[in-house]
Amino acid sequence: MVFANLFFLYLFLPLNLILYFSTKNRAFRNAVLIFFSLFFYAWGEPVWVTLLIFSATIDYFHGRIIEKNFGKIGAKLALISSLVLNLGLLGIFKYSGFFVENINLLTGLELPVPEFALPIGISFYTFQTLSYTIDVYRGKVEAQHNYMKFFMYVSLYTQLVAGPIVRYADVALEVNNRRENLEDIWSGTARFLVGLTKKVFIANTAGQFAETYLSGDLTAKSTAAVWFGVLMFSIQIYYDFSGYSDMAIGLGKIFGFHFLENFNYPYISRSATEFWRRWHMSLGGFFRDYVYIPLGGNRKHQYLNLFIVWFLTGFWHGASWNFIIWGLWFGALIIIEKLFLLKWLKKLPVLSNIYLLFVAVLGWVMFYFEDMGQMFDCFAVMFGAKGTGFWDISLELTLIGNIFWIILAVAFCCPILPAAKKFVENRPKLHMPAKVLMIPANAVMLIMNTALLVGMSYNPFLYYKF
Amino acid sequence: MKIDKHAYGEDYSKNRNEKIVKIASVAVCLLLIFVIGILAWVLPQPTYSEYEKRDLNQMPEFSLESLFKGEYTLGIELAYADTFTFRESFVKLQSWMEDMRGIHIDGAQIYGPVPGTTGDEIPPASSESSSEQESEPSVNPSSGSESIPENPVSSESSSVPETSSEPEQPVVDDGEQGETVAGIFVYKGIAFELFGGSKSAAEYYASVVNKYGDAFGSGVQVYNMVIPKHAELYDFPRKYQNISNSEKDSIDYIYSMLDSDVKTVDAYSVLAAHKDEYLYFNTDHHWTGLGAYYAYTAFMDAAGLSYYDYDYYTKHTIEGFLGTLYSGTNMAKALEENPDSVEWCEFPVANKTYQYNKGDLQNYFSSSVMHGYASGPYSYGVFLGGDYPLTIIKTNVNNGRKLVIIKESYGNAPATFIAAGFEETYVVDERYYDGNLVELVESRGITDVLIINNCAAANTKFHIANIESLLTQSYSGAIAYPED
Repeated sequence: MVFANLFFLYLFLPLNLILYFSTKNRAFRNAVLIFFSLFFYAWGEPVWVTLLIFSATIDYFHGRIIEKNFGKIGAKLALISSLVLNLGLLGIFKYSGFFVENINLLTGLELPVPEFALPIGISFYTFQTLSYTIDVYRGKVEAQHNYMKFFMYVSLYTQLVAGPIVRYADVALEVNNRRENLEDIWSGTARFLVGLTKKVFIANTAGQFAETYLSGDLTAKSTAAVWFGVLMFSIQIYYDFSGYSDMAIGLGKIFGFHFLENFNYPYISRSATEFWRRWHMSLGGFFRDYVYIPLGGNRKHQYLNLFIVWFLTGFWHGASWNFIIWGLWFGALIIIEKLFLLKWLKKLPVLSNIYLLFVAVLGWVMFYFEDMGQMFDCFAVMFGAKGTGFWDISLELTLIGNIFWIILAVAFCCPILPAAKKFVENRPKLHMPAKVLMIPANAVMLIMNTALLVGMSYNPFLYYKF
Repeated sequence: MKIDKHAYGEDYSKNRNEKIVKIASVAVCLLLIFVIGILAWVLPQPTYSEYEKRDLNQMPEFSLESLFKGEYTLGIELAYADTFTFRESFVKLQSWMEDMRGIHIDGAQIYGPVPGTTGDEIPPASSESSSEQESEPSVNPSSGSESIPENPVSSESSSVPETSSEPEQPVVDDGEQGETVAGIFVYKGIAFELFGGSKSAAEYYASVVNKYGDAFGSGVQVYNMVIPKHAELYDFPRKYQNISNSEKDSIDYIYSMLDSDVKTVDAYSVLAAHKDEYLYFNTDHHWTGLGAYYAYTAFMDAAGLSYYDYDYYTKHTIEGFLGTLYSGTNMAKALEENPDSVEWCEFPVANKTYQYNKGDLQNYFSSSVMHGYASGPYSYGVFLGGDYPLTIIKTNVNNGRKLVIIKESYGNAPATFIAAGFEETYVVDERYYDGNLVELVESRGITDVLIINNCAAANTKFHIANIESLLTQSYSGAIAYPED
């Protein structure tokens, strides 16, 4: 199931809320969350829900064993076992096909290529449980003794299928003891609706444009049309993913959890280095704390470490070369920036913004096309190497016919909402009117998105792929 | 002390007000969700969408297999969305929001130029089972070329057929299942399907038509007519002239590849000569009876037969027609304000007409050429009653000529003119006829075979593959023919 879905909004969610808030009994509430989370997950993954349960269960025991043998060899062995099992599952389900295909290509063998359907969210939840066992091993957090509580943390449907990657250490207190309150429910509701709007109103539409302008024979399209398609994909992936994170954070708040932010207006960055501090922060943080720093960080062979991290970051997004290229593209940019570019960028306010947007958008081309031939065609048309003409009338109609929407979509890539919030906060007289205004605003967002969902069947969720 | 108390009181009431506002904010959302969510269960749920011309997804039947494949839960989601409360109002709201996204000079608006305009992405007929079609989660017809799904039989039962003795179901035209279109362009209240075209598909089409040229004995003449669509013949202002690829080029290319034993019918010229007349609908992707009439004259010329003057016919008109492109644009307002009328001519000669239902060639029922009860979004169904796999029209004409027409829905309208010039006419829908064409031609003593397609269909591999397999497929049972 996904959030931006009528069945979720009008059936699953209300039932979940009614049951959850029908009692103050903590154990009951946790049980409701587990039940709905399992239902949510099994809805889309009726078979591999077993894998989720398996993964959670073994890491529960890993955690206990590590804690019991803290500082001893047993802890290390349990940690290794956890790493092997989690990464092994990921390797089998996500990467085995890719590996075998490439071995076949290299050696000319014809090994049968395993075809596993990627279980939804496996990349996210294996990283979550990994962070748990590693943190317990490092003594950063106590192991969870209550199996149900641990299982609730792993299976919590709010962030299960598409992040953010919530580390156990960040929510350990709330797993054990949290207080749902009006303030959180109120702001969580608004946050959820904003996320829903980002996904349904912006990302879905942008996705349609991207698909339209980036499919078929690209060399038959004009340069501007392909640029438009690429920009639309850049808009889509940001709104899609950050909208999903907003919804996860909002829902989490309603149930009393406080997840860390996952996006911080990445497109206003002024360097690739900064971009990755603002884009999918929970993933960047994961690789930083669990790969980069253990490898030696900036203390020894920093460039090798960066290469490994960016290779893995790309590879995490999908078992395909284009994702690896995309990861390494950012790795290369970040190394260049470290060598000398960052100093210059800091002195060039507008140019540095343009630079980042340019390299990020080029990156999305690598990310979009799994087919290298199409990727190459796309770059060729973008830079006029195919002589396809610059402009076409159908694009012009699309631009004019969607101009208000385009302006909104671009504008809200900038931190307008935080600025507005700050503006109101600094003026006590506006506090109340702003809150009153949110009543109709919420209702409008809900009805608007409902209409769009009814009217559009086009509702694929991008991050299912990962 | 006093001041403090005052401050406390103000603070207290401020907090209280804030609390009320926050509760209200959450409550309004919850209320909406609950009310709509409950109505979605309580209100009667539609089973058919008139404007989408399709059966709405119904709750799937449970089986462990479909559950494990994820089909069961997906089916529930689709059914839930399809039968959602106030669905039509929500779709209209969505359509309005789409309009509001920008500026539309002269009402010019483009609806989803669909991906893969080369037509190469349409799966061949063999892999296209009807159940697959129905399970596609396609609600928005502008989102894909195959998005106006098949509608086997309309559930509309209020209309009573005029002539048939058998209880007749108006088989509503389904808007060219699987046809490759490069998007819909709305301009001045008229919707145009844009033509993408594909060289390889055109070559494939020509090769299949050539197979027909070789398939029959020497006494059988094969004709091919490729019909240009509205966008090709409309006089757009200069800036929009290249918005649709040239269908003329595609038709010429196809004709240039045809063997000499296939006679080509030049519908283009006669339609172009009358292009200021009402040849195509504003809100539907089909042509009008008048457009079909001109094509009929071109065909009769090619076949060496005479044709009636348009004035000769007794005519009727169906008003208020909002067709496939109206639903294809999610009920665009500009189109709603510019509805079509369907003028139709009574069949001019005495006839007996029979039709077969999909999947059953062993039973026919008597029917009529024109179905004057057609109305609303089904109005184009006035011609032959829609897309039956086989329609047989027997007339009192006595010229020794018997014709097979192979067509998609574009062929329905001209068939109602052409059949009046032949002793017997067998109208075969390339998508739904399960019998073998060679067998039909030989067993029925056919003298003429017309393959008639609109230009988009002639560039769509799905259609071409269907036409091709007519020559080789065979029907499992014995086909029943009316003998009288």
